Amino acid sequence: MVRILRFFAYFSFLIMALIYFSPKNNMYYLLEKELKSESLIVNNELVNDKGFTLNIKNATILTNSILIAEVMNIDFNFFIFYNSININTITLNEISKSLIPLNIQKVDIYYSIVNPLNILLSGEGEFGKFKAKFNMLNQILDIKLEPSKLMKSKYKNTLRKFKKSENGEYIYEKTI
Amino acid sequence: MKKLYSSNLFDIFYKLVILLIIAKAISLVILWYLPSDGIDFSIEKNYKPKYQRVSFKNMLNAKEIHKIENKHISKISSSIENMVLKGLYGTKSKAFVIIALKKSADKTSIIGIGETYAGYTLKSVTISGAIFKKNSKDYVLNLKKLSPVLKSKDNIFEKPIKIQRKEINKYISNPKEIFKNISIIEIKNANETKGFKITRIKHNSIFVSFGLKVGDLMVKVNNIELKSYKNALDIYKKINKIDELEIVIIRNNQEMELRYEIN
Repeated sequence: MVRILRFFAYFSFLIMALIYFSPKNNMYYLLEKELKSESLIVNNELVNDKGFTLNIKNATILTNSILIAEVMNIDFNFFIFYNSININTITLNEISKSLIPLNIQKVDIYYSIVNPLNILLSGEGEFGKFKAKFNMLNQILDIKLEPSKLMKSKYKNTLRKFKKSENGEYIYEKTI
Repeated sequence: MKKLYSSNLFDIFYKLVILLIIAKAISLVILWYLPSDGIDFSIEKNYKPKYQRVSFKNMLNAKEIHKIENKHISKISSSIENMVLKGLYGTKSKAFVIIALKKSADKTSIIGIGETYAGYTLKSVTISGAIFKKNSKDYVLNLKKLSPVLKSKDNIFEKPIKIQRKEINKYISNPKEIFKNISIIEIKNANETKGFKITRIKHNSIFVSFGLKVGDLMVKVNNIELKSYKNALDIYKKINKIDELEIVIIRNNQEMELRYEIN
């Protein structure tokens, strides 16, 4: 029993050391290259390896060379068994003004080995609050939105794309 | 003899150091396969310096010119037959002409006021020509009249189309209205955007009066080449500050320019 515990202790130490020494900046550059192939560019950002996490500050996000959003802070936390990306203070470009309120307070993305088939998302901002789930097996994105008063009054066209459930939630489902 | 260290503790420490070395070695191997630089967005080099449409008439002060012309016309004895005036430029203080001898019309020279060409000294420049002096006599050389290069049935390419600012503002405040009236698609040649093609225009919409037609490929706006959606969007964002708009289109394999004045 002691041997097994010792093995797990050493194994955990190795994993932690691997996370600490892993070239997070370069992994992020690889992610940037992958995103570029999807016509998405993260620009002007400050990349900071904080040992166990990676922090991105003041990023501008462009698609097809068009600025779509400015993001104040992104934290990447990868601990193999539990991983998350926390995005804070997103300001969308004026072009989205007719679709959605421009200020998003935060978006959190989680992936845990406990729930291996789903990526969970949540967020809140001027639009209200949302919770989403992306099923990697069926490639289905499922969004549940609690719209704010602003969203309900000024963005009725966007809300029409959602189905309204009995408990007042707005549901959107799409196969990606 | 008393032990200076616990062999058990040393063993754990030793194993941890080995694990650290292994972790570092693995991370170095991973680093080898990863890119060393990120992606940075650079501005596409499609911007050509802004040009302005030049009207020689505006450059020459009409009143001054008439005075000069009236003063000189009476004294002018004859015109110059062996030279051809190809262009002129003038402001209140400075003026010069582009001139050539008829026998070698392709060999042009630029002459400023007071300079001599083939024995004739340039005295002044008028709207329609130049006055030279030779042996105390004045000679006039008129600008060769050119026929307009571009003619079109509906006359849209000859003078700017006037657009009301309020019409533009209406579309800025409600962008969806644009796409109700007109459909535009990006045309690519390999990986490069050639321009934006008009695939549909609602009849009786304002875009018809703009002189646009289905099939027109818009390639340049105000001398900015439309190489991406960003270029088009940048112009759209600035449109409420623009007074003059020049759109270069390709229609029936011919490059044409549409000019607009926004009032």
